[in-house]
Amino acid sequence: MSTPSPWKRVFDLVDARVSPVINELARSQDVAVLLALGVRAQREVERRAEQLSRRALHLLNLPAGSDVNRLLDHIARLEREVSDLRAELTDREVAAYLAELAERHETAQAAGSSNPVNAATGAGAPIAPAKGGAHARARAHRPAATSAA
Amino acid sequence: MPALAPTALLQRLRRDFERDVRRNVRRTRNGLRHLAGVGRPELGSSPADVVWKRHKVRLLRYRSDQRRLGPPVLLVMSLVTKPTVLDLRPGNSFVEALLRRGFDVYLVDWGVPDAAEARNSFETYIDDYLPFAAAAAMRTSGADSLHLFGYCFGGVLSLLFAGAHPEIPLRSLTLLATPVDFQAIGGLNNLLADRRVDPEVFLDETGNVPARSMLRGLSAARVTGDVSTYASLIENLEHAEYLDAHHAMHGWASDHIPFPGACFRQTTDWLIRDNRLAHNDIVTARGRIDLRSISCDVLNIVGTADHLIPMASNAPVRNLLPQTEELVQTAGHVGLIVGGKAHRTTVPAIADWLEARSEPV
Repeated sequence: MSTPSPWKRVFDLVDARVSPVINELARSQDVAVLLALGVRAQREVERRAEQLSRRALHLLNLPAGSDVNRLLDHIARLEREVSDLRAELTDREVAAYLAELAERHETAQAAGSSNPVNAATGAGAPIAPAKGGAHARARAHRPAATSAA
Repeated sequence: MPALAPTALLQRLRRDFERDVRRNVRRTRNGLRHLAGVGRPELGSSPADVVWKRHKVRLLRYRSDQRRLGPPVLLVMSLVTKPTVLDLRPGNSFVEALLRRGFDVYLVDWGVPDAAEARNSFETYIDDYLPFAAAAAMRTSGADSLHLFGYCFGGVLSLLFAGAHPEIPLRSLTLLATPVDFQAIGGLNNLLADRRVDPEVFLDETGNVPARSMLRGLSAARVTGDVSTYASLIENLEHAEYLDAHHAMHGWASDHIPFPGACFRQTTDWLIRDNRLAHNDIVTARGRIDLRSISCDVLNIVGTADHLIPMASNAPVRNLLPQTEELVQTAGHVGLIVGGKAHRTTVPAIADWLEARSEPV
């Protein structure tokens, strides 16, 4: 890139001084309070407008946005159920492999291995030639991994 | 400065005039291209195959005839941005760099959530999607372990997944710009942290946080960022290459995706309000996740100029995972992985670290 033009140099100079101040201000608690008030006010206005329009539309026996959203939600639930059923069929092999991994892990835990990779591979050697020796030592002294379940 | 002869002076004036005209023609042409939105580079264009899919989540395996290192690398992206940042464009792609080095690279693409994903919680990602994606990657590659790599919120998911599933044999865990202490992030997090605002107000009719709100929230970390970006764009409008880079970067950065509502509520309650990740106190529907049970090698990469995830918010990683090796770079949130400097420094460093923990296949 060529040397910045005079206007850009001036801009950069101003930017370097002004931006940190503005950004700091934007991240302050006071601005957060103002934004919170703004969000609440906006939400309240939207809620009242939605109530009014819903009543008006229902008087005319027409569906309101909230009715459509309810339907969308039902469709989304159905879509998810169908996807879950499909996944149950298609993921069988991966699920079996996951079960195999869990079994290997349990066996290794019972055998007292502290490294799940070694446990899974059946190897006792360090997983790879790490650059930091201290790193490998830290790993060796770590307690056995415990299940979250 | 010696005086110029009248003819030489005229010639020089003519040359300068012609150069300025050419420059302004280029600027005008590029400016019009920018305004019209034509000729924008395609993002995430490295060829890949879908090897596993559930709901909108896809596991991509990048094609390569240079695979020589194992185990495979599984990239996990944030839930609020598209994963194209990891494969921005040829010559500026983390994925491409890993493939060139000889790795077998997989990426979890979360897709674009809609009403069907509104109930996706942390459990959905760490217990339903990631174990299957990891197992599918290992099975496809015929590997017995894998390298896990998480970027930003993808790092949070990777941490939780690694802690929750010790049965998945991880060779290593790489965290890039990953927040752990959510109360140190500041910005709009303050809104949620102080319980001044109910997270529900951010959800739209689909039950998710809309993409535009995510964009606004993330932009608040650096409110003057857009002005600086556009000033640089105007300054460099004559350079087509700069314009392409700008479009690639800006195209990704302004193309957020909705944040699933249930996960947003948990993020607010668990991570922001109670700061449970920093205190290693995450209890999901399956039980407690002990991050200290993660026994694989860990590489933690942070940027000193990261305005989105300040270094303080990443600091607890070293306490939670004492085996962590740290890579501190003078870069911002995206500059850690994108751009010329990243590809001269951070990316090769990550590849070196992974290679040292891999073997030929």
